[in-house]
Amino acid sequence: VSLSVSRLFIRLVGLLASLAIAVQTVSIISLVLERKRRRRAEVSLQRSEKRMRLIAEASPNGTILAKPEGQIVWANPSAEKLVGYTRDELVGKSIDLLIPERFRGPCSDSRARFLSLAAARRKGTGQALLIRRKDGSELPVEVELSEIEDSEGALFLAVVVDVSARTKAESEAQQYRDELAHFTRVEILGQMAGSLAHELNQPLSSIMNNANAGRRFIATGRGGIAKIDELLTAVVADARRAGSIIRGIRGLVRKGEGERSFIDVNRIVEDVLQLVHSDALKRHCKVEAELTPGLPMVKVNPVLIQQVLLNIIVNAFDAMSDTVEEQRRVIIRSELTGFVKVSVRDFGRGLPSGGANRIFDHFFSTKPKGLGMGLAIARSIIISHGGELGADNAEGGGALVYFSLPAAGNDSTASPPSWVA
Amino acid sequence: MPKPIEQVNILDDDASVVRSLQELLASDGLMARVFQSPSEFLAYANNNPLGLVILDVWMPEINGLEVQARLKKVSPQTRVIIITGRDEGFLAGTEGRSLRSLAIENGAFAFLTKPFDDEEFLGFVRSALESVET
Repeated sequence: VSLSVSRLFIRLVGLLASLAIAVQTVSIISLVLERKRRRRAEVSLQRSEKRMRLIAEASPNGTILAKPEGQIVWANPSAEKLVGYTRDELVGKSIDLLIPERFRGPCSDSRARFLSLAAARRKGTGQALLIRRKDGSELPVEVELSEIEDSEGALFLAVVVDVSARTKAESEAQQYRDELAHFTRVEILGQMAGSLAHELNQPLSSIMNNANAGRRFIATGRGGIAKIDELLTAVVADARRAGSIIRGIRGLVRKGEGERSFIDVNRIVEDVLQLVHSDALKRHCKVEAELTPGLPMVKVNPVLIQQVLLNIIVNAFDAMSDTVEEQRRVIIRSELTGFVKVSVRDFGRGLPSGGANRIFDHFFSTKPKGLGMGLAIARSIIISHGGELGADNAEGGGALVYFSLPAAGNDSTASPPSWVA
Repeated sequence: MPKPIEQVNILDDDASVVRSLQELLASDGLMARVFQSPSEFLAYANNNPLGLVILDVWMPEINGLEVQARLKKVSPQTRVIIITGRDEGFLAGTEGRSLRSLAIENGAFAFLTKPFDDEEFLGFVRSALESVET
């Protein structure tokens, strides 16, 4: 019996030893497997990181990674190409390096500038920003900014897209529009040349009469100093009047329309009325102005708005060529209707059938020699000022053409940061 | 008792031109009555014999040649000197006829384009007045 127990004990020990070996073997195997899995994961991660880096490196868009305080930590080759600096030159430097000096301002907080950049983009202004390249040149770009987190904390990722080609195309399109607007202005003035000469002849005639009267008073010893002074004062006033007419013509003929400025729309109406005065006489049209005083200012390019009004008034004259002379009237009214509105009412044949808005189409004209560009350009000018140009048949006959402009105080267009191109 | 003849009259819608013509005539010793409105002038001419009128063409309301025609009906003896800042352009219903030829045909004493020479203008004024007196 004792032999049997002893054998059984030996077998049991042997079994336990085998079991321990098996457990150890399994542990070793699982450790090896775990190590392999980790290794595979690491390789996969490395591959993924490498792939992401390759993508970022190969991206056609410039990509720059910066700390919140503006310190650049990484840039891809496209960014190097855009800004003209190598990655080594960029890394560690402030993002200020890429902002044109005149836009840097007194604030040294690059983070604030970064955020204002992001804010400007979020507003969707659609405007390009300017960055300064290493050679000092400036490049219009669009920047998409996002905030990311990594083990070292928050970082800003800026994707920079070169939009110089688009900006150039837009600039060329604007240039064509300006040239077309200029062409139509000159065309209108050309048609009015005789009337404008008459308008100028009036003060010139007065100057000549007063000067000759003065010479005669002096030659005959009559009149005295007081009379000569009176005549010279009249000469100065008429010379000023002639100068004002010439300035008005020159402003419209000059290429390039100048800047937008704050102006009372009534002043624009009065300037145009001075220019059309003789043309109205020639066409036997009576011009009446009903201007509301104290209108809010508008921020406009005065030359372009003059062009629009001149175009509408000359059209009104044309529309009344078949109207009996006693009824040829043009009423120009300015008023506040939320917007600052200027309307021109005539007593002519009214708008052409087939939709009032046809008159604003390019190449649409009811005149035998008309190009059909005047009102189309007028509409684009008013739209570019945030306003509206419209037309209706007036009650009692004739047409009512009007434009409205936003009052400068109610300008809803968000102002982009000063360094937006 | 007949009213005395008003020697020199001016009708021009431009205030500064009217004043300057008045001064030019004054420098030659002539006083002038002035009008800026064609209808006011015609109303006056209906009731007062006029010697000479210096008449602008391009005016609102009624053009100078129309004024000349209406004046001729009520006062055929009145001399008319037409002055204009623009001698081109046509009046309604007279296409193809120059202003000068229409004015002269209507009996204008002279037709001058602004700005004009003072000697020439005053020469015409004196001649016109002499022709009225004779």
